[in-house]
Amino acid sequence: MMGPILKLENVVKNFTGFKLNGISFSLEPGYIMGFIGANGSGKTTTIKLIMNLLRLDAGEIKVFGLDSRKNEQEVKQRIGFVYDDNHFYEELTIVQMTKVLAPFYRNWDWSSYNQYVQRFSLPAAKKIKTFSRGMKMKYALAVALSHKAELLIMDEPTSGLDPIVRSELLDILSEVIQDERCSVLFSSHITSDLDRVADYVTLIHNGNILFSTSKEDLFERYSLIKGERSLLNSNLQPYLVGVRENQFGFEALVTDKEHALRLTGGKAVLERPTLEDIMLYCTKEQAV
Amino acid sequence: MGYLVLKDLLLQKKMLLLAFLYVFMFTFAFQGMGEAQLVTIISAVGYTFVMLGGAWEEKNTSDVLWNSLAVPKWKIVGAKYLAIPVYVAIVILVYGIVSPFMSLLRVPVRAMPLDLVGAVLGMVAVFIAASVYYPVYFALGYAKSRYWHFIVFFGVMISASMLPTLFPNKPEWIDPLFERLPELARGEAVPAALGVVFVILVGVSFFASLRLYGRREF
Repeated sequence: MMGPILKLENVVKNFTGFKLNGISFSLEPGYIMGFIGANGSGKTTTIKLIMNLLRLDAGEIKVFGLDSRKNEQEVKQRIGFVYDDNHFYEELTIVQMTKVLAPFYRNWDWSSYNQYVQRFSLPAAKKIKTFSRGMKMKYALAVALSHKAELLIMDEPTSGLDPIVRSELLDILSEVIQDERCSVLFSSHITSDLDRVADYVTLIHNGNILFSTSKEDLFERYSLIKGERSLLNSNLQPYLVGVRENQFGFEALVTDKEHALRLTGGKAVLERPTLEDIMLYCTKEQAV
Repeated sequence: MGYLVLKDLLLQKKMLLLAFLYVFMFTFAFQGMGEAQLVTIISAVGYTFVMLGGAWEEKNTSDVLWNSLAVPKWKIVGAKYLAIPVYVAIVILVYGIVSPFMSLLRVPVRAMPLDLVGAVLGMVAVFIAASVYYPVYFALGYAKSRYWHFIVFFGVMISASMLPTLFPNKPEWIDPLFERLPELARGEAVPAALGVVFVILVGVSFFASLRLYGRREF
C-alpha cells in the first residue's frame, strides 16, 4: 500500500461549545504517532471520527487509502483499537467475550491471541468485572493484536495505569512496530510515554492542530532556554514560544536555538525540552 | 449474527433462572384470566428478556464496541430481532416445566396447560411489543427509551390478555394453517392476511430501527 495509512483532511465536527476546526494530519505506514493534547482538546473526538462512531460535518478521512465511511467494514477489519474506557461485557469472562467477537474478524489468529493472554497472565475463568484497569487494557490489547491489524488506534490506553504496566504496554508497541506489522495512533496526555516510543507527534489544542511532525524535527525546531531574568530582552521576543519567569530567572521555549542563545550573549543555557514542555508552552501561547 | 444472540443469552444467564420465578409468580397473579393466562405470561416474561437485553448493552456501553468492530449495523439490529423467538422459546420451555411441576406439587393455583395457539399468540405478542419498542431503543438507547419501554410493557400485558378473546374457541383454520404453511389457499385469506400484516409490521420496525441506529453517534 502506497501513501499514508491514515489521512485526515480538513476534518470538521461541530458540537455545542466545541468545534474540531478543519484538522489535517497523516500517518505513514510503520510508525507510531503520538496524538497529544490537554483534556477536552479534541483527541477522543478525532479518534471517534476515524472509527466512524461520530459523523463528519466536513472533510475527509482515509484509512489504508480508503474512505473510512464508504469502506467502513473493510477498514475496520484491518484496525485494532484500545480505548480508555472498557466496553467489553463485564459479566462475561474473556473466553466468552472472545468467542463472541472473534468470528467478526476474518483474519482472527487464535494462536496469537492465546500467546498474548498467556503473556499477560489474564485469567480465563474470571469475569471481566473482576479485572483491574491494567488487566482490562491488556485484554483489549490482546484482542487488538490478534487479527493482523495494520493500524492500531489507541485512545489514552495508559491513563490510570501504574508505571510497570505502562512500560509493558510501550514495550509491546515497540515490538509490534519493529516487526513492521503495524502503525499506531496513540493519543495521550501522558507525554512521557510518547517521548519514549513515538516517531511522529501531533498536537491538538481546542480543536485545532498546532503541529504534526516527526519527533526529530520537533526537537530540532524547539529548545528550552534558561537564564537570569535580565537576559530577557525584546530582541529575543520573536523566537519565544512561551516564557515562565520567577524570582530566580526565566525559562522559555524557543525556536532557532542558536540565534536565541547568541541574543543572550551566550549566558543562557540550552536544554532539550520534553514533549510535555513543548505541549505546555505551545498551548499556553495559544491561550494567550 | 448468531454470536450476537449467543452474547445476549450469556449475559442473561441469571434471567434464565429468574424466568422460573417470574413464570411461577405470574401464574399465581394471572390465574383468573382463563385462556389469556398463558399468552400474558409468555408475552410479559418474553418482553422482559427483550428489555433486559437493551439494559445490558447500556450498562457496558457496548455500542462503542460493536460499532468499532467490523460488524455491519444490520447485524447488530437484526440480532436483537432474531433473539426474540429464542427468548420466547425459553419462556415456553420454562412454562412447560413449571406448570406441570406446580400440578405435581398440588399448588393451589390454576395454570392453563401449554398449547400451540397460546404459544404462538404469545410469540406474536412479544414480536409486536418488541417491534414497537425497538425503533425507539435503537434511536435513543436504553436509558432514554425506558419510559417508552414501560408504556409498551403494560400495553403488552393488557393487550395480550385480550388476544384470546378474539378467538374464544379454537378456530377450525388453525390446524390446517400450521400444516400447510406457507401455502395461502382461498378460504384462508384472513389468517394469511394477518400473517402478512405481522411480517410487514416486524419488517417496518426492523428497517426503522436500522435507519435510526445508523444515525446515532456514540
